[in-house]
Amino acid sequence: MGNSIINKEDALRGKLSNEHYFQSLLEVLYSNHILSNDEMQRIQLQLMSILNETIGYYTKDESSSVREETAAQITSSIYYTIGLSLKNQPDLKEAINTLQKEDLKYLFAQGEEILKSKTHECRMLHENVLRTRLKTGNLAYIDTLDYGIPLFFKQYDARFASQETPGSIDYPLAISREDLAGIDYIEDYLSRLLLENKFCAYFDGKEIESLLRGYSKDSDLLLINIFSLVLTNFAGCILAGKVGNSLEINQEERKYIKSQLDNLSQEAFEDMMKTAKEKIFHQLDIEDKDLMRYVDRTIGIITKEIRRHIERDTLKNLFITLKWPDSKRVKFEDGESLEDSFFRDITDEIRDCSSVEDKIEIIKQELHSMRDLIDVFEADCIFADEFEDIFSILGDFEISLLMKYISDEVSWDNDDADSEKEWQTEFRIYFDTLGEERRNQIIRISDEIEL
Amino acid sequence: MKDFLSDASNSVVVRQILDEVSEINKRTSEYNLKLSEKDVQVIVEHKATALRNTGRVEFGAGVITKIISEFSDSPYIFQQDYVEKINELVEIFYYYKNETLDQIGDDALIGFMKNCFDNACQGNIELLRHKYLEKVAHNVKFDKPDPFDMEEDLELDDKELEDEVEE
Repeated sequence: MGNSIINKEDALRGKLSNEHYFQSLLEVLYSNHILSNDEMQRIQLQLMSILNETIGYYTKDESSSVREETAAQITSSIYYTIGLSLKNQPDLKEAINTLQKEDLKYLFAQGEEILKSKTHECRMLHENVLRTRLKTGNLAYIDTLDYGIPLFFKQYDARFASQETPGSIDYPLAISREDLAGIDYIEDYLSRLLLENKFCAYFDGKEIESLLRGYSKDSDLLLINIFSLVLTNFAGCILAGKVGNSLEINQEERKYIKSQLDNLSQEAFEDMMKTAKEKIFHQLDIEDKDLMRYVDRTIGIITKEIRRHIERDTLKNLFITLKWPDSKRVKFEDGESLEDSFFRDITDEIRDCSSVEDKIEIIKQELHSMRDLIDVFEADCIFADEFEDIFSILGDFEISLLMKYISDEVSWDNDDADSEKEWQTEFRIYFDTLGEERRNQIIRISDEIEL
Repeated sequence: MKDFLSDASNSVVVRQILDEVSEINKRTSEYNLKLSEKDVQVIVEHKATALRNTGRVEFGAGVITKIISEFSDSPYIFQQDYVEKINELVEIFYYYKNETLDQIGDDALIGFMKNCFDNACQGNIELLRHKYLEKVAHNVKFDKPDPFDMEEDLELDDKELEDEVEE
């Protein structure tokens, strides 16, 4: 008998339900002739006795009968509590041995102890989740933490309805389990939420809020998982070759990611994502094994999403551009433009210059608005090889303005180089020659500018 | 999901009740009242039907011996209708457990039924059901402090109700 149980263990395990563990175990053992008729009868009688006693507690010994739904609820509760005790055994073989040898009353009492201890642990977990909570305006997140979970502890009836999950748990996790109930569900939910909080703590809270705002102006009202959005954007940053822990990502970087991942074989794509995952752990210095496993599993989901969005050319919907609050945005007011006739004189003068240094001098002296500068770029008075020298005299803010102008006027995702003006092509070439740190700085300023 | 408890036999219950009934029989012999094993089986079966009809479940001997013990000294119960009366009382007991929202304990409800049956109702079960137990159910549903308070005006006066019962 012992050996046959071991051999069958794997096959049996697949048939067990996490939510209805004890019932499914009884069914599986009985149908596989591991539990005899006599053993089943003994179990039935012991269950009757526990039910009788529990209903006595329920009615305070004042009523010998209860409504069917009450009896069904209490019976499910007893099954669940005994299931906790059996699940707590080191393995399935031990669970089966215990069920065959021990009195069910003992298993029930043991289950009640596990319930008490799990409830205590869940309260601690909830405190940890509150301690590490995100500063977010997302209502589902706030409501679940401050109202839904406390309501669970207030309403959870470990004695007569241990299998139920009261409260109001609305905030969706990146990966949640639907096959759990009662205290097991809450324990699992809080453990995962804590991991999500821990991961988000590696990032600037204001950036996370801007990310959510970039996702949707109504992000506070949506049932979205913040951790997934943060991890996705950060994975995007890593794929774009960025360092640090910023979540900022722009069109140029999305375009770069697409160029890197497009047309890769499935295997090469997965290798790329695996490398990205390792970089995430390395850059954030994550050593928590549970967190690493959780991130790993979520990356698995994100990988499929990235693939899908690359195929549809919709990466901008996946790697979100951060939207900073209006107070942080810089409102740019352009200087006064030149009179048309004077502008023509200036462009003629520039065209007649033999050296780029002279052209730069005229631009510095005579132009006082970004609009005029761009008009000069487009007036056929500067040669392609002169643009680099002109761009090099501009500071970060002016470069950011040009970048903003281009991104507002022209789609950076547009591969059709013919539709691009000469100065824009030269600008892209010049931008790519800048150091990474300066590029990031310029991108950041550009994102904050409002034309 | 199979209910592993539903297969449990009634035989244990019958045996348990028989033991208690034999004690009650000794006590009621002076009123010439006696329940045979067959009578007990009929009552247990009737109880099972009453529980099913009212959507309730009971474990162990339950209230049968309590009802038999309480009503066996009633001046309105005779040997020829002993089983029938007990069956009716068991039936309305479970019905009013539901109607009183499980807020009244078995002993309190049985005690109230016996008192009304012997006194105000003079053995009339229909009167007990439609007037007194209905009033208790009403009191519970309207959250009256004392569910057994019969002082307030009843919707039907005694005469009307008695006429209704007779019809």
